Amino acid sequence: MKENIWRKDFPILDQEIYGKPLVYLDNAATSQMPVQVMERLAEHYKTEHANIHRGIHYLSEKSTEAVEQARKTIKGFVKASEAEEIIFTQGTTDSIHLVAAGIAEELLREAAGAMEDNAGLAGAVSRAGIVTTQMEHHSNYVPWQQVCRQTGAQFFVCPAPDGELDLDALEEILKNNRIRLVACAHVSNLTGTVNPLDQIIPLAHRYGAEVLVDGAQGILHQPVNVQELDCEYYCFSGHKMTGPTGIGVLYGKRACLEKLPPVRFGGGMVDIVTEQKTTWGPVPHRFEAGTPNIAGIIGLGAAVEYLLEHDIEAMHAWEDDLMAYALEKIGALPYVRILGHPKKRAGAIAFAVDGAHPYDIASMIDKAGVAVRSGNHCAQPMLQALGESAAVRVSPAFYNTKEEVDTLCEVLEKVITMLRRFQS
Amino acid sequence: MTAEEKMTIAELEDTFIDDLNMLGDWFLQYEYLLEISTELPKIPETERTDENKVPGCQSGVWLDIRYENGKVLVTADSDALIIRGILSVIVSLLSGRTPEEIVAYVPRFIEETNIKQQISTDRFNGIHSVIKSIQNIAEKYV
Repeated sequence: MKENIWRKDFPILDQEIYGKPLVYLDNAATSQMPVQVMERLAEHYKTEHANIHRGIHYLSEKSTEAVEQARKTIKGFVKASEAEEIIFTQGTTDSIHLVAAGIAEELLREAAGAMEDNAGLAGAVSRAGIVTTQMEHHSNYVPWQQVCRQTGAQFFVCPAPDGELDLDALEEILKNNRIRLVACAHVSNLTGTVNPLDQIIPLAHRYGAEVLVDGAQGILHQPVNVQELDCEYYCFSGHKMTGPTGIGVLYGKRACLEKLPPVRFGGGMVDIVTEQKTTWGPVPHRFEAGTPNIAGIIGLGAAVEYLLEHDIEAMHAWEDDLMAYALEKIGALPYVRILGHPKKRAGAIAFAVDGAHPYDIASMIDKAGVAVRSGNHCAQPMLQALGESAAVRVSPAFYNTKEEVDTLCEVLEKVITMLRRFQS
Repeated sequence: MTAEEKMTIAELEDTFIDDLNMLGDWFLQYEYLLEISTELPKIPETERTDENKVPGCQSGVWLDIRYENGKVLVTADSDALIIRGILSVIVSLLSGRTPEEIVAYVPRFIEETNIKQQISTDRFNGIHSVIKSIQNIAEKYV
């Protein structure tokens, strides 16, 4: 088998747990960090740590420069047209909330007919609608449901039978309602379904709706070109793309960001503040109130540099090969049912086992050194649609190997046999 | 009355802790929990309701607590066998005891065995809330 050229950069993978070599297959929850990112973080803390955009001193300038360089690197990575379209957040959930809360305010203002800044919004009821899909992570489902609850807008859920979006149903919703926005995952965190964004986005646009893409699971496993996709918003997290936790990105088209009301107020985001009124600073800073996660931003920038310098296309090819191998091997295990049959899959394989509970399986294979996730995966609507209440999820990354998939399958087979013996 | 029923909660709990800890290997410990999970009577699907469900994202846990003839009677079930094994320990320790015994009970079998590690990832702390629920009901009858 071919040697994995990236694995040596991930020191965490080279260890034993419970006396067994670690097989880490929970990358959809959190990916691991290469030593290059750790070194960049250490360098930042050792030589340049200070607040940004505020101090007129050497360290502050160094930190500011590093943060703005990271913004440019990330802009290049997702192929945005300008660096100002990259907003730093705490993660995908936070990015979605920033848009959701802004749109909630916009919908209420529109409903109240209150374009005056000081007009109250009480009693306004929006007649617009928002569409999400059955396969969303709760993070891209519940915020929209709550926006609808707050504004009176209608909440639509596009069905995803067997893990594939029903685009005819989506078109019906778009045709028959005034839809403000379609919120949709790039890649499902449960079934690994890669959604046909090249069809969904033009479809939404045809009916005048904007599109927010939850890219949490897409950003590491799929090429992302936001200009080609033409989505209004694309959200992702550092910790799912070999970067640090607590940092994420909201990409937004400049025209959209210019009209999106900011909902978080504080230092660094304002222009003029008086007792009567406050005016906002420019995009992107108007969405970054308070001191940001400076080290997180620099670490995320370093992670993107790592991916770019180490041939992300080769990583994607490696992953595709590994996914096909894993899907076939896991699917061939007795009593295992792979969940969902999408046309294209990346990053995650979920399955249920007849006569063995996911919690038991994940607990027991953990003690054999294999890390996977069990539970509802924050995707209850999708699991319900698939007729399950819990699942095991295996989520490889480019630093995983076929040998690790073999170990997983050997251990799975043993554990399933043992659990079924006790199942009455 | 069997020998087991004559034992106090603490004595019975000591026996369980010793038995489990004697099995040095995780897999043998799981096997032990799976073994005792088979001793726990099932709550039929039809009686698994939202009202008697204990919150948690990993597996379903259902709990039924009654008070009869001065004793608190506990039935519990889960769709995960490891959790059933742990519930089986709780039921064998607490079911059929007086409210006073239950209220005075301070659990040790979680802290003093690997069960602590086993249940630490459940953010809703389901097993702790099972014990708490039993104690809350018992409290009413003291």
